[in-house]
Amino acid sequence: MILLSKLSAVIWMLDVDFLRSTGKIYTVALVALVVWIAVLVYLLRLEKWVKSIEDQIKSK
Amino acid sequence: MVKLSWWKWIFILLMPYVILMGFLVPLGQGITELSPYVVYPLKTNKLDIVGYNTRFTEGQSIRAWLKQGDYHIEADNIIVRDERHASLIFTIPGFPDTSKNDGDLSLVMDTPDGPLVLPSAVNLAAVKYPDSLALISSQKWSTNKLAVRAESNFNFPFRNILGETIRNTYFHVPLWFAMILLFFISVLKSIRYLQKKQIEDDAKAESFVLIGVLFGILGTVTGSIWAKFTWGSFWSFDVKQNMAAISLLIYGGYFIIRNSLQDPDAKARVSGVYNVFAFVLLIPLIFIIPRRYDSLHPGNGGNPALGSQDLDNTMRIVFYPAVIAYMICGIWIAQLRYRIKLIYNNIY
Repeated sequence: MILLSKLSAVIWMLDVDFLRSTGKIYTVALVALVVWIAVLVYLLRLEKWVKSIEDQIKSK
Repeated sequence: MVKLSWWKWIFILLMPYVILMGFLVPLGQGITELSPYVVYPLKTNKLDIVGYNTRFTEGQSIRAWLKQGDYHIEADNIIVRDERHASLIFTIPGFPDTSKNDGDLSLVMDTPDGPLVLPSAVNLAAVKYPDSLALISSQKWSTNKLAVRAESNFNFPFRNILGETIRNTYFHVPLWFAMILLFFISVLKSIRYLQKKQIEDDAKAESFVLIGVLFGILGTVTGSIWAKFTWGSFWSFDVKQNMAAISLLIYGGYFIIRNSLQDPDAKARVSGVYNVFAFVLLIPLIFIIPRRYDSLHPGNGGNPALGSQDLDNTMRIVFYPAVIAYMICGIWIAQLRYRIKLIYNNIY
């Protein structure tokens, strides 16, 4: 671990910091990602639906 | 898959970046506990510190200073107990600046990983002693430049009281930026309606105000949650909190006016004028008044929050994309809303 910390800044990020050592920060990040993906999927489905109705109107 | 405008793709790509960077980049080093709070001149003082994300090891070249203004005194010895606990031994020769003889001292430490700063760490007790004793100690207050190694890792700053909650900067503050942009777009559409009398512009204005109010409510709620953990209570009657709440209530009046009128043209005209007034009020309420008063919010009491003291450079590379992502998200949601509105009202 001490040898690892002598390498570059990016590799230091793999070293365990306090909050990461409890593993809980990954849970938080994952929850945030899941929420965002849910919002995104909802937006995309709305887009599809609105697009289909607009196309129907244009074709009439 | 649906064909999306280019700017919607920017949101889709930026948001995971903001979330991952916002949560997974570690914080820098900081000091969470320090005792005792008072140090005495002409005495040896032992300060016990508990660090955060520190890696103190025996034999490492760690240095510590107590600083008041331009003057600083170095620690005689640093005893490392484990990675996060250490004791600092200071012998304080006397008061650094004879014009003021007590006050808070900041603690600055230099470690191989970079600097550690705790502002207003200890209080130098104002003990009276005869001037002849002032020169006895071998240590002297010095005004030389502190030799501190640069931060060697990429991390977000550790600030007292905030700690890990500083990550909320990426999720709470962009909501307000997006709200202001949405209200600005809505007022442009309202003015356009008042000029050209095309009902589409009114539909757009109403959508943007609605989504702006949504983001404002989210910002208020997220801000209250953050305040509970850092300022101690959900609502501190802080000037910025008050002004934001007032602005949201004013925009709430926009919908009350719309609901009170039946004729769509009258609705559009009156609410368009009200929208202009509401936006004109938004500027002094949110931007000007909070800067005139002391506030718990960082960046108030004189200075805007995007200065170098409040926003670290490492935070900017996540904060600015977050602002852009939230703005695009708001515009996308508002655009969907008015497209559906136009369909339902047979305006195409």
